[in-house]
Amino acid sequence: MRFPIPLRRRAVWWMLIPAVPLIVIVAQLSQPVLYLDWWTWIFAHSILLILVPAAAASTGAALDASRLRVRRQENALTVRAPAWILLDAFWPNYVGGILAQAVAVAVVTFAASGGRGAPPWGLIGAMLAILVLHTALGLAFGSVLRPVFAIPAAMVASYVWLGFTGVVDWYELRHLAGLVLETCCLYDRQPAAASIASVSIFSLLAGAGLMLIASVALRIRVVSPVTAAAAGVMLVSGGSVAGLLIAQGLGPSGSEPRDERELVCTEGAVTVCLYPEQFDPTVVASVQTMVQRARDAGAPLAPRVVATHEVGDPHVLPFGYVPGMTEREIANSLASALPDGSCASDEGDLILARDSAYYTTYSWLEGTMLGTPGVGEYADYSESYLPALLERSPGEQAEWIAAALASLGDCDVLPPEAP
Amino acid sequence: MTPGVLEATIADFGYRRGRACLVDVAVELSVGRTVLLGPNGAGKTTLLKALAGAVGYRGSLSLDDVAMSPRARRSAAYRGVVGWLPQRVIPFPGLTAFEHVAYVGWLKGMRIADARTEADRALATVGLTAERSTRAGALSGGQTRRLGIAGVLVHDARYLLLDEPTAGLDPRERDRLVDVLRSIEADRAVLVSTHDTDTLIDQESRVHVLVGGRTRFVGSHSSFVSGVEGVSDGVRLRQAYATMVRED
Repeated sequence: MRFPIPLRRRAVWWMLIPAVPLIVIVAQLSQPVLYLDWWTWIFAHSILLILVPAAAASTGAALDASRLRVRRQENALTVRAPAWILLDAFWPNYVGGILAQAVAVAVVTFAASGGRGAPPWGLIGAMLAILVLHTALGLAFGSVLRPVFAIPAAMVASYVWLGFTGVVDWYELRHLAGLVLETCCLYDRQPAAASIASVSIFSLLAGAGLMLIASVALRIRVVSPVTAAAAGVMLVSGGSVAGLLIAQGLGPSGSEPRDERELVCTEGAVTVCLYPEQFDPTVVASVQTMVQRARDAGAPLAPRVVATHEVGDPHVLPFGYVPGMTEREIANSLASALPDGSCASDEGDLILARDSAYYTTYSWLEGTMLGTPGVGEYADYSESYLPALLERSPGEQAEWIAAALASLGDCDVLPPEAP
Repeated sequence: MTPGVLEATIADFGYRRGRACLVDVAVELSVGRTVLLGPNGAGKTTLLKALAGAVGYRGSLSLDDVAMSPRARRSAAYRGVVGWLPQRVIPFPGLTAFEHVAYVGWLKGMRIADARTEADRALATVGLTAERSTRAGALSGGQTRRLGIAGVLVHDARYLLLDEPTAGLDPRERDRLVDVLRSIEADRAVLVSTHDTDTLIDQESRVHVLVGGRTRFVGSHSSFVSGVEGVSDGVRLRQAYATMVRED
């Protein structure tokens, strides 16, 4: 297939040479606390890496616009439709940005050992929209400024818009830039539709506005320069206002609770509810066995385990599960759902007593779930009463654990004495 | 397709309000060469820009007896048949001579395949076939001018507006460029602005002299030099021009 300008003359391909290793480096520097093998999470985390593809697309577009800028006198005499000329300068850089972002997604996918679930079309759309904006930004800079200024300006503006807005306290602005979507997802959290809509609508409208401004600077407009420039400014400002309004009240994270109807529940003496990408019959069986062991030993745990990090529902045992967890990690995750017993009103020995109740209960639960008492995470802590507790009869252990759990969930209840 | 007639009457044009650069200038272009003479600041470049459509003006414009708007953005039909070579030809950065000309053809509305075919033909016409794969930015001054002409030939412009194409060229390059002009003006209307009376005016040329933004003379070569004594045609041309301009 022939192109007006051979593809090898497009700067963006050369930009990809440093961009790809840079993506890998940035990925190493921004490793998350946990990896989820879930496409939504993978795409969300890779949005952080869009810093590099966006800068590459922006810089490449600035160079392509510079090519047209040097002959803007003659541009007034072109016959080709202005939209085609702009599109020809736009698309290779846009595609280059998409390819770089695909590398970013691949890097995260590799680190997460693959993805599960349906593709997150909303997130993918937001990514594509962000790249439209940054490519158009480069075109605008390249159309208005000399290359010596346009190239660094396009690179810096792209980086600053994404990076700087991520640290401002005006949260709506974070949603407008889009990088905030990186924080959207956990197993029970998904990207907020408003956050996706905010960045997508702003990026597309502002991108179109910047293209119009570029067409005026390059003198390849159809309508009068004043009309085109005014329309361009209106699109940028209108897109900003629309994006900010949509993002109003969203808060610092672009997430919302995931639809619980997605949960796949396995009924039984202990019901286990996991999201599709988490679901594994072996894991479900393990969880059922572990919780049943703890309940049989007298721990008053809820018989319904749900993949959520929301605590407070007494009828639900929250379970933070990431595919690939070992038996011990699963037990640890289940035990960690108990309240931590921090009470603002506690003083002196009462703080230590409640801490001891927490460490002892935690390690007792973990060991009991695994069927090997004494192996819990805090078993060796000096504050833990676990060795003493395990010397008592099962009934006494159950009684003590119930009392400790009651004290951890209610600051008005005193923790039990050392066993 | 040979051109008909491009007629333009510029009632007035100025870059700033109240400061007219061109006043009552009438131009009629048909097959052959018209040489636009005038001192620096006479408005030659502005006239070419106005005819090309890079700037709009107040007045009238017609192409093959079809009236058109003289505003800056002319119709696609007009832009398709008019080719303008500015004083300073700037090749597209990073492209070879061939790629530059083919891209210009595409910008002028040609299909990519046609633009590539015609680019080779245009380069051959201006004698740049050997430089086909040379970076356009690395060409010499004369070669760059010829590249610019290839750019207006690629889409088969019927009206060529060339702004001082021989300025700053060495004699050999100048002669080569004149040869190129001779080869293309047989079926095209060419308006050339220049200070170079020796090289660009021949017996068949029409002459248009612009002074202070107004037409001082329009006519054939013979009427331009009539009544002027001289040992050669070049001397007579120079004397005729000097007399006309000195009168100011």
